[in-house]
Amino acid sequence: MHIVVAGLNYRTAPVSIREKFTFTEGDLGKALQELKETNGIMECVIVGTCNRTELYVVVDREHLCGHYLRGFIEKWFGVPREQFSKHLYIYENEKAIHHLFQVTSGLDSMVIGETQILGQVRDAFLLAQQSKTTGVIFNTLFKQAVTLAKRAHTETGIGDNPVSVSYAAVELGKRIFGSYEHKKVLIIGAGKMSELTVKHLYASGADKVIVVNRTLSRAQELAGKFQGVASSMDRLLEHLAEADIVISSTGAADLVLNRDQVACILKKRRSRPLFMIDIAVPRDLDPSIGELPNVFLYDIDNLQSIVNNHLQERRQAAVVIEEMIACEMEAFAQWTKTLGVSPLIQALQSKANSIHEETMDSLMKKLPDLDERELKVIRKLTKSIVNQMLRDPVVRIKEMAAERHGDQALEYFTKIFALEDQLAERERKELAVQQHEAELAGDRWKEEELLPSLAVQSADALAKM
Amino acid sequence: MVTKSWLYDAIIYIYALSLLFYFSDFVGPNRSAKRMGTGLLSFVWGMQTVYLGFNLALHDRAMAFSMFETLFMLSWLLVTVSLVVNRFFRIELFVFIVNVLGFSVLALNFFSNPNVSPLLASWNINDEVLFIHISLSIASYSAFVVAAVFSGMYLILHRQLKQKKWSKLMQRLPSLEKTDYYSFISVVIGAPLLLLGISLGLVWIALEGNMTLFFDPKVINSWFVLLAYIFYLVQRVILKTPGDKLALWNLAAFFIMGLNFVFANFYSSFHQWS
Repeated sequence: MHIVVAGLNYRTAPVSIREKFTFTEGDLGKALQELKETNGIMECVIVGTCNRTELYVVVDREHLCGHYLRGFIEKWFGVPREQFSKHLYIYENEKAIHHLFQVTSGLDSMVIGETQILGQVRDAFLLAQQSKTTGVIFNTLFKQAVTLAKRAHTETGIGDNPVSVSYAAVELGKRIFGSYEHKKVLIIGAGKMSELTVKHLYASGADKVIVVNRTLSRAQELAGKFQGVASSMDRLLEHLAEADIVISSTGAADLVLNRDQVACILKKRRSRPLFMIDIAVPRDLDPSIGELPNVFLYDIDNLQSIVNNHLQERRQAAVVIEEMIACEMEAFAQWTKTLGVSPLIQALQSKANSIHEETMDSLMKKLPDLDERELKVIRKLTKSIVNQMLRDPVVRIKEMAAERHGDQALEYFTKIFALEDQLAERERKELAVQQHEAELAGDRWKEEELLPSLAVQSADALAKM
Repeated sequence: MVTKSWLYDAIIYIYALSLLFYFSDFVGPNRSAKRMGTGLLSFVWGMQTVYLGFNLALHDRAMAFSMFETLFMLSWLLVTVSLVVNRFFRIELFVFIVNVLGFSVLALNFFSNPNVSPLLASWNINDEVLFIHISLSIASYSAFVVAAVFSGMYLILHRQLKQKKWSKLMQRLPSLEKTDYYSFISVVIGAPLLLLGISLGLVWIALEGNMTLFFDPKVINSWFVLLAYIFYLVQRVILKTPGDKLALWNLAAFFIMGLNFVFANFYSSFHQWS
C-alpha cells in the first residue's frame, strides 16, 4: 500500500492555472467517488482551497499511480495534461505524509502558520469519510494530521500574532479597547490601506465609520461601503473629538494633525483613550502626539516592525513544528507496521477456534454420557487453555511487528503457526466483498445514467401525445 | 518550620504546588498546567474553609482577632475571589498574581504567633459589632488587593503600548479598558465596605466610651485610606482622569492601605493585628 499526493499550489501554479482546477462544493462528493473508482485507488481525499488543489490517495501500485491521477484530472476538468503537467507535483509515501502534515499545520501556506487550512483539511477529510472514500489508512493519517496541527498551534502559538500591517493595527487596538463594539473609527484620507484596515475593524464590530477626505465624493464612496458618514477636511477636529480610532493615510506633504490640535481635543474627550494609526508616507500625524496622555500613536514603521517580529517568531515556531512532524511521521510509520498484525491474529484465533470445536466434537463422540453441565465445564476449561497458550504469542507479535524487520517477524509467525490457509481464505472473502461492492456501485452508475434518458423518453412520449 | 497543624502545613504545600503550576502557565501558556493549578487551588480553598470554620467554631473567639486569623481570612478571601474570577470571567494572569499575594499573606503567617491577642484583653469578644467590623475590613482589603492587581496590569500594558512593543505578556493581559473597569468595580465594592467597617469600629469605640481611641493612629490612617479611595472614585467618575494616572493613584492608595495594615499596628494602642 502506498500513499500518494498529487496537486497544484500557489508556488507551482499561477492563479490563472489554479482557477481551472477548482472543485465546486457540490461536485466534490461525486469527484471523490469517481477518483475512488480510478484504477488501483483504494482510499482518497481531495483538499481544495484558493491556494491549492490536492488529491491524496492510497494505492496498491505505486508506479502507475501518477498516470492514473493525471488521467483523472484531465478527465474531470477537461484540460489536456500537457497544460498542467509542469505545474503538478506528485509526492509519494514519506514525502506525501510529510507534505500533508506541513499543509495541515500551515507551514506550506502562503502566510506561514495560518490556521484556516487546518479547518479546510479537516472538512475535506470529513467529506471523504462521509462519502466512504477513506479507509483504515486515511482515517488514521488525517486524524493524526489534524491532531498534530491543533497541538502545534496551541503549543507554539504560531498563529497568535498578526503578520499583516492592517491586522496588526486591529490587534493593537484590541489591547486598548478589548472589543470594538460601540467604537467610532475616523478615517483621514480614503486610501487603499485605510480601507483594508477599516474593513478589519468593521468586521471586528466597530460601530460607526467617519470618512474625512479632501474630495468629498471619494469619502462618500468609502463611507458607503461601511454604512458610514462622509465629511470634509474642515470638520476634522470636530470628528476627532468623538472618534476612538483614527486611521490616517492622506497623500498630503505636510502634517495633517499637530500636537496642539490633538491636545485641545483631548480635553473634550475626557478620559477616553485615542488610538491613532498613521499609515501615510510622509506622515500625516505629528509624532509628538504619541507623547500625549491617553493617546497611542503608531506609524507604518512601528506596525511593520511588529509584523517583522511576528514573522520571525513564526519562522522559529515552524522549526519546532518540523520537529513535531518528524516525531509524528515516526509514529505513523510504527502504526503502519502493526497494520499487518491484525489479520494474522484473527487468522490465528479462527484457527484455534476451529481446532477447539473439532476437539470438542470428538470428545462428545467418545464420551456420549457427559451431561450438559459437564460439557460446559470442559468447554470452558479447554477454551481457557487455548486462550492462555495464545496470549503471549499475540502480545509478542504485536511488539515485534512494530520493531525493525517487523515484516520478517510476521512471515515467521505465519509459518510457525501455519496460517497460510486461513490468510488465503480471508483474502478470498475480502475480494468477494469488494467485487460485490464494485458491482453494486456499477449498477448505481448505470441507473443514474439511465434515468435521464428514461426521463427524456417519457418526455418525448408525452410530447407526442 | 513552625507546625501549626498538619492541615495548615498541607494547605501551604498544596498552595505552593498550585502556584508552581500557575507559574508554568505564566511563563508560557500551558493549559494543562493551568487546569492542574486550578484543581489544586480549589482543593486549597476547601481545606482553608474547613480550617477557618473549625478555628472559628471551636477555638476561643479571641483567636479570630489575632494576626494569624486575620491574615488567614484575607488569604482565604483572595483565593475565593480568584476562583470566582477564574470560573466566571476569562482574565489571564489575574489568578496567578492574586494568588502570589494570597500565598505571601499565608506564608507571612509562619512568622506570626497564633497566641498573640490584642492588648485590650477587656474587649468583649462576643461582641457581634466587632466581629462584623473585622470581617468587613478584611473584605474591603481583599477588594483593594484585586483593584491594585488590575491597576498594576494596566500600567504594564500602558507602558508597553506607549513604547510600541509587542510581547507575549501583552497579548495575555486584559485590555486597558477592561483592567481600568475591573479596578474601578473593585474599588466601588471595597470603599463602601471599608466605610462600613470604620463606622462599626467607631460605633464600638463610642459604646466603649474611650474617646481617645478616636485619635488612635490606626483609626486616623484608616480615614486616609478611605479618602484616598474616595478621591480615586471622584477622579474616575467626575474628573474623568486618564487611565494611567488613575492606576497610579489606585496603587498609591493601596500603598497607604498597606502601611495601615502593617505599620499602624506598631503605633496603635489597640488592634494589634486587625
